[in-house]
Amino acid sequence: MKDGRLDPESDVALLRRFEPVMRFTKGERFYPLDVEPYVRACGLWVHRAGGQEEAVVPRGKLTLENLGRQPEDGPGAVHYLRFTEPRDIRELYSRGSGSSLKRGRRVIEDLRSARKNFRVGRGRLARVGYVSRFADALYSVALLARGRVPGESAYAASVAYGRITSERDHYNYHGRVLRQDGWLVLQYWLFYPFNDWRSGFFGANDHEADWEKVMVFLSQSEGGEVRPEWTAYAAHEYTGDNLRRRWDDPELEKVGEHPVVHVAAGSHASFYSPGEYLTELELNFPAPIARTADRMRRFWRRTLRQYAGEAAAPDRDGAPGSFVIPFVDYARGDGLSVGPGGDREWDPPRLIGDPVPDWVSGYRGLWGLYTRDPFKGEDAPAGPMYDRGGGPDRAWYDPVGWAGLDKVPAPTEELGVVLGRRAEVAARRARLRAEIEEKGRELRGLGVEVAALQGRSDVGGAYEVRKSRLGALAVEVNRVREREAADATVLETLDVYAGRLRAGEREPARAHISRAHTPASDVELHTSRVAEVWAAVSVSLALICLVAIIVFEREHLMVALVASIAVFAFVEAGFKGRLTRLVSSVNVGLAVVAALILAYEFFWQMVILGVLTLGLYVLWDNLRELRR
Amino acid sequence: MVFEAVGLASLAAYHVYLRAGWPRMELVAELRRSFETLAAGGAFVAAAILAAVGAMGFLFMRRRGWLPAALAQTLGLGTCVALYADLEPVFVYPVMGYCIVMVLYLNSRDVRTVFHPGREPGDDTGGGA
Repeated sequence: MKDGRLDPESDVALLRRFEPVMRFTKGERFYPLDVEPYVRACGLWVHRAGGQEEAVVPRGKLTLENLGRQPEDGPGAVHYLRFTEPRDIRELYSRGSGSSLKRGRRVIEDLRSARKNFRVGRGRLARVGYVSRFADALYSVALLARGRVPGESAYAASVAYGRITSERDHYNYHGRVLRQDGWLVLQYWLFYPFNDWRSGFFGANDHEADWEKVMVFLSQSEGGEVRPEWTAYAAHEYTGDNLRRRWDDPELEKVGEHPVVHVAAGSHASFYSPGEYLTELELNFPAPIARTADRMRRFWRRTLRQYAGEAAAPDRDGAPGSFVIPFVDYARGDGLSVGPGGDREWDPPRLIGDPVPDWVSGYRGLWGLYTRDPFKGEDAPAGPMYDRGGGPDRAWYDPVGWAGLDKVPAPTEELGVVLGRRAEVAARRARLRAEIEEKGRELRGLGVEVAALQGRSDVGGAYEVRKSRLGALAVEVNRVREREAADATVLETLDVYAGRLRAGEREPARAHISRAHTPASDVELHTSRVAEVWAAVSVSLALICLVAIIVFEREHLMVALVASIAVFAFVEAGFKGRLTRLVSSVNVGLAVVAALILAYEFFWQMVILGVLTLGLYVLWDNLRELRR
Repeated sequence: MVFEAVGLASLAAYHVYLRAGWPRMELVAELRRSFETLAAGGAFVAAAILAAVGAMGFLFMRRRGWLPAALAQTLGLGTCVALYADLEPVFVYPVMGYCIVMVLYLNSRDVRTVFHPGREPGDDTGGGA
């Protein structure tokens, strides 16, 4: 980078200096690939608003050059690439000979053996409650109805991927260097030909093509020296402060100057530490229900002063008013590692320079199969620059904001920013003091006028008018004084902060993190086998019980339903060691029902008793006061 | 096909059950009534035992006293609500009133702090399997 402009040679050198080390999980089949051979292996299709599908460029004719130069296709049309086609899948299972078939079968065998290497973690469903398990079951059932990637696509993609890598393994990233808000940003765009999270690793979705990114944020001294300050790894749709780690954060593992990324199997989400991550798809209750639940909770805890220990730690089933569908990201880092010091080295990167190449800026379509999934999870993603709707992607146009760094000045600029801010606040404070002086004078003048006019009968409404203005002015002066006092405090703290910066002190490395995504603990991973089995069968068993009760116990429907729910709840609470909490909740529920019954049966008696009790209490309290 | 076979066999058994009329409906109804009576009585006895155990726990300030006391309220209230729905006996009302007061007492912050000091929600060991 020279004079703020891109310089390809030095940019590539910079990218290579901090390129990540990617540690994959055993069982992973798709690794970061250059887009060029992938695009060559694809056909370009268009899905028109009317529902027609048409091949725009057949497989074999598509190149990076002509990908971005496609004619517009009217509103509602979706362009997409097809990496696998139905005939690939048919070929996989057709009988016959031929080298391609043999190769295809070998790839399938490889895929099967890779999946055998993968060991499923414990406790995906055991870690959440019934509602979430039920939602998970519905989600799986919904997959049958909504658009999705065909079941054998992972095999077909594996064959096609095998074709690309048959001569030589390719491990590539696409690098971009840019400057934003005082930061020098290195973007490592990683392209995977397929995401087999659902079919391979019990995850949420499968889709052709997968774009992931890793970013390194550098500061640059006046002498041109660069220093790594932060990293940010993409994981699903997360953005903001929790995504980034400071270079000196102990959680950030490094090989020399290369940050280590632990890649989740199938989903290719990136994590800092190896482990199994519970990724939760959070669904909120409708707002009125959530509000009512919140009001009741507050009444219980504040008005009735009931036990509030559970409020301190949110329920692991999500925030109040929501429930979650759990999926596990297996980012164990026990498989192939790619990058400096790893099992494989990176090939020379493909630079996304200036001007931005057509395949990035000109092609707004999807990079793989368009399944028309209403939840979008099974649709392929768009390229680095765009989201699935064709709009600009924040990680591309505002990487600093994407990582939550937009409020953090680069270290080389931080002291200047602090001093500049101090000067602004000091100037504002001076203005406020002048205002206080002026308005104070006015206030005192009005005060003596009001004092002089008070009690005189010959001044008409002058007294009232001045008194009213005096009150309003007093409030205004008080408000300005408060602002001035607040500015004085800010100035003081800015001075202290500037002093700390001059002394070379920094904030704690993890001060910005409010909710770090952490791998499951040993306790969570060692769920007992019985609890696992219970978690797996409980939802189905509950549904069967429900049907059995409706069929055989219609006479005592409510009692049978309540009894069966109680049994399920107690078994679950026993497994999770939450019996105390359950008993409390059940007691509260029963007490509310019993109170309603009593109110229904003895309403007036209760009113009379209440009034009598109140009267006696007041009498007792007053008499006690008299005795003192 | 296996499911179909099991389903058809079940249907056949059900058909025989309907035709033969066995066991007699009166007998089933009588057994059910007896079971319900026994269940309600048993629940009250269990609640009484748990309440006694809870009282001992409170008397000697044993931390495990809270759970049996709370379970006694669960059983007491649950049985009363079930009986109210079915027979509406008069004695359920005072029991309900007393249990409500006990639930509020057992859940009050002071009592919970004494019996579960510094406990996190997930640390509950009562009855854990």
